[in-house]
Amino acid sequence: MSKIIDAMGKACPMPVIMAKKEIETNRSDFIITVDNEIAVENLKKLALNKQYHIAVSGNDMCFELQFTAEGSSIFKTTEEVLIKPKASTPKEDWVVFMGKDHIGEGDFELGNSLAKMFFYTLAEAETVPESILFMNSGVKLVVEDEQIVGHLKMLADKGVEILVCGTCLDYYKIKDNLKIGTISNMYDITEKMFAAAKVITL
Amino acid sequence: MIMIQKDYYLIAFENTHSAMTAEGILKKCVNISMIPTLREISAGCGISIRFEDEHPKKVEEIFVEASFEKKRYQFYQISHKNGQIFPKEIDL
Repeated sequence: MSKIIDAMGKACPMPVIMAKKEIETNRSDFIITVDNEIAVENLKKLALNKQYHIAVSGNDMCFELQFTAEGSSIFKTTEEVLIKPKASTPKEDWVVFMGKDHIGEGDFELGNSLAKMFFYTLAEAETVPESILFMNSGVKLVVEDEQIVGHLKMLADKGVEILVCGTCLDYYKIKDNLKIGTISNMYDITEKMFAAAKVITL
Repeated sequence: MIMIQKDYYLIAFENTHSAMTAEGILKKCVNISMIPTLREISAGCGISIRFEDEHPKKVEEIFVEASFEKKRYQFYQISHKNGQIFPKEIDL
């Protein structure tokens, strides 16, 4: 029987840390229970990174996630939600970090227009970043700004990964309105920064 | 990859404040984007407004209604040919 880890009531990033601990002990299968969607999304990403299959069951208050190491003999294909990495598109080795909903310091309206124009220019450019990372009030752009959401859709079609800080969406109470991108966490966002040759911070 | 670029209308402004004011006037009634003023256009301001779903005449009417003076902006029609951009001034 799989070991069951209870991460109910645990806020981000605790469920991920708990699951990571199990993976580090080379456990081939375990179940983790959580009570929020952000944790589910983060655990799915962890499974993908660590080559585990993941099966999710439950409703909006209680989720049960079954982790099974790929290649494990007990791996069952029934009722599994398989997450496969996307086909890799050649991208440039740099990322954009948007830590606020405007560019630079000074007048907000101007800074916000500059942000719109930045993403317009990025969407039209011939080279695209590996990923775009949104944190703190930067997450508002991915929820509330229709123009920027449009540009991000174009960038996503070109293979750019859009990661949005789940803690921040939660803090601003706009988690349910995310228009594009993947709800992410500090681990994935810092990992992207460390792996990139260049991080452009706006 | 060959990108087929859409033609569109652009409004350039005499200064940044005019561009921001125009955005405030238009954003509720016209589908617009704030874009950097094209290198091919010389204007006082680096911020332009792009739109494609509305006729410039209609946009001008909105400006007139809001008492946004004509001298503060210029309409352009932007077309593309062989990867080059051709802006054409429109006088309404």
